Amino acid sequence: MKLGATIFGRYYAADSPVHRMDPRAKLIVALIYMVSAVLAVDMVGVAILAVFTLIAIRASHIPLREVYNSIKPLLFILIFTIILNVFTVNEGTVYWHWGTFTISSGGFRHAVIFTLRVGLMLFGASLLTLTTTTLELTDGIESLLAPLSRIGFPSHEIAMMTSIALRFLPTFLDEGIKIKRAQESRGATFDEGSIIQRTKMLVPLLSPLFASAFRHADELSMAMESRCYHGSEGRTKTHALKMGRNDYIAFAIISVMVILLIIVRLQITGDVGHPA
Amino acid sequence: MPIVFEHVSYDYNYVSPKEKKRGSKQTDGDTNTSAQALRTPQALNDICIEIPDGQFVGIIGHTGSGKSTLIQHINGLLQPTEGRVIVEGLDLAERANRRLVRKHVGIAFQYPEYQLFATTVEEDVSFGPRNLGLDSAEVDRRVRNALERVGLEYDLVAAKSPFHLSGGQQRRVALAGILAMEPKTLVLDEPMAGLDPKGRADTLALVHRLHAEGLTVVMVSHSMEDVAENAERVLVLEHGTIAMDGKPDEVFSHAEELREMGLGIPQATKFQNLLAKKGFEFKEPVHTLDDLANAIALKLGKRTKEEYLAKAAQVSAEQNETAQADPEAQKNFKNYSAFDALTLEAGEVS
Repeated sequence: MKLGATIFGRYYAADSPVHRMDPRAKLIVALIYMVSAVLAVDMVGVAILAVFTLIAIRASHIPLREVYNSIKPLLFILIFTIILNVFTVNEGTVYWHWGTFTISSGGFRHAVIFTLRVGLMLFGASLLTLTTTTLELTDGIESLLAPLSRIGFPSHEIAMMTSIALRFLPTFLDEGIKIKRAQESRGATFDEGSIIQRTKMLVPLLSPLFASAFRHADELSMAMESRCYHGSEGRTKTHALKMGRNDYIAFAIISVMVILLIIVRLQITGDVGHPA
Repeated sequence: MPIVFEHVSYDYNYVSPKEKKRGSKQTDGDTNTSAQALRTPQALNDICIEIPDGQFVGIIGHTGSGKSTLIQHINGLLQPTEGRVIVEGLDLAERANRRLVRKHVGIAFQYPEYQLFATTVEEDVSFGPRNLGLDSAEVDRRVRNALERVGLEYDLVAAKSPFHLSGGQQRRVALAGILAMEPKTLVLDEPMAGLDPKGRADTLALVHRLHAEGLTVVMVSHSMEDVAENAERVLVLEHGTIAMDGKPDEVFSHAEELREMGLGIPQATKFQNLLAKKGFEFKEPVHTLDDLANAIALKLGKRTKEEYLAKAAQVSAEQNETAQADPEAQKNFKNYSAFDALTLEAGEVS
């Protein structure tokens, strides 16, 4: 079922050091990873990034194939990166040009580096969602945003809304399939006809789905209120988050990676003043 | 033309070779979603059935026994991973046939009112006929006809928003939307779920009327009474296989097996068994209220069976006459004719 494919994969249950990490540590490490990936602007930088990504995947006990599967829906981004780089970068030997579009040796080099970089970033991000349950994830986000709630930022509410939204995704997927089949039983076709016809066919699909979303929201809010839910004030946690050895090791490893990347980057800038 | 299932198996986790080549994400089904595998082991397993035209088939089975999966094969919403489904002479393995068969087979899913989408009842009911590409005069005729069949007045509801109607009325609009396709077979998944007693009675009477008009009816239900009272044939599903297939009398005589499958027997049969324990036994098995009333009257020795049946028929005929003028009474008379007969008799005696 095509509808069943989820972007960035679902939680992959395993018992690994990465799975056991504190979600806050994982979020911070992932964030550092993403930001520092920007530092990798040449082959050496990309290689360092790749090595550390592979170490992380190995440590998570998730088969490489599974990680690849989880980013597959996003491959078009990579293809887009390749095309953009090949046609727009004008450096080195120029093979062909038409207006602003040029194909040059520099373009190919850029295409390879940028594609690998974006690909590795996707790998890193999907590793986060593969090893962390949505509950842990929202818990971590809430905890990280908690300081902001002093200045009136609704961190708990945002975390709660996120986890509810994530919780209901499969429900709506199921209902969407059911509604689609019901309308198909009445002779509707969703994969044929012109764009206009297909767009029109969204109404019989989406309108009952929205109605159902409102129904669920209504019932859920009633159920939450009847159990005295009143937001974050004075609310405690069953599973308090706690940093441990794994988390400090992860911080150490990511620090090494960042330092290496900075060194490599400084050398490049020192040598030729390469643009970012 | 009958509905034929030839050795139909269906597996939720099955990936067709074509999809596999495309590298579908389904592959993770066998690695990390063992919970999902537990939930749907193999939804259908070697199902062979033939449903002749005009039959009223009841399907029972506990949750997850494959009822919903089975009915979705009847109009090609799901395709068997093994075996064939042939409806109206069309092999549903062909894509084009699956489109065609939806003209002939209407499916009402559980809570069909949740599929309503249009701003007016008229628009919603006409969705099916318009999909068939009919001209506007024919669409209009079908909409009026369908609403009339479900007992709604066109002039009163056509311009209303379906969301402003009551739950029972919404369901009837949804059923009208299916009847507007003018199917020869009507498949209903729990058509009475979540309705109040009047809504249930109305819906059941509607299904009955449609069957009387010649439609083949396949009804999934958790209510043993509804199945016993209405169906001519009962299919019992268990772990994706047909555990029993027969007349209601035959099926409901296997009380013990049914209980082991997490199913029950009709109240009337339970009552018969309770009476038997107290030493008040009938000769024949009883499955409907009608049978029960007959059996009790017989046992009390008020009449011989033949006399009783003749009287009941006479009462029915009389009621039928009065019912012609009063459709409301017509809906109800069938189930209660025997009781009325008893009451009448009591009146005569006293």
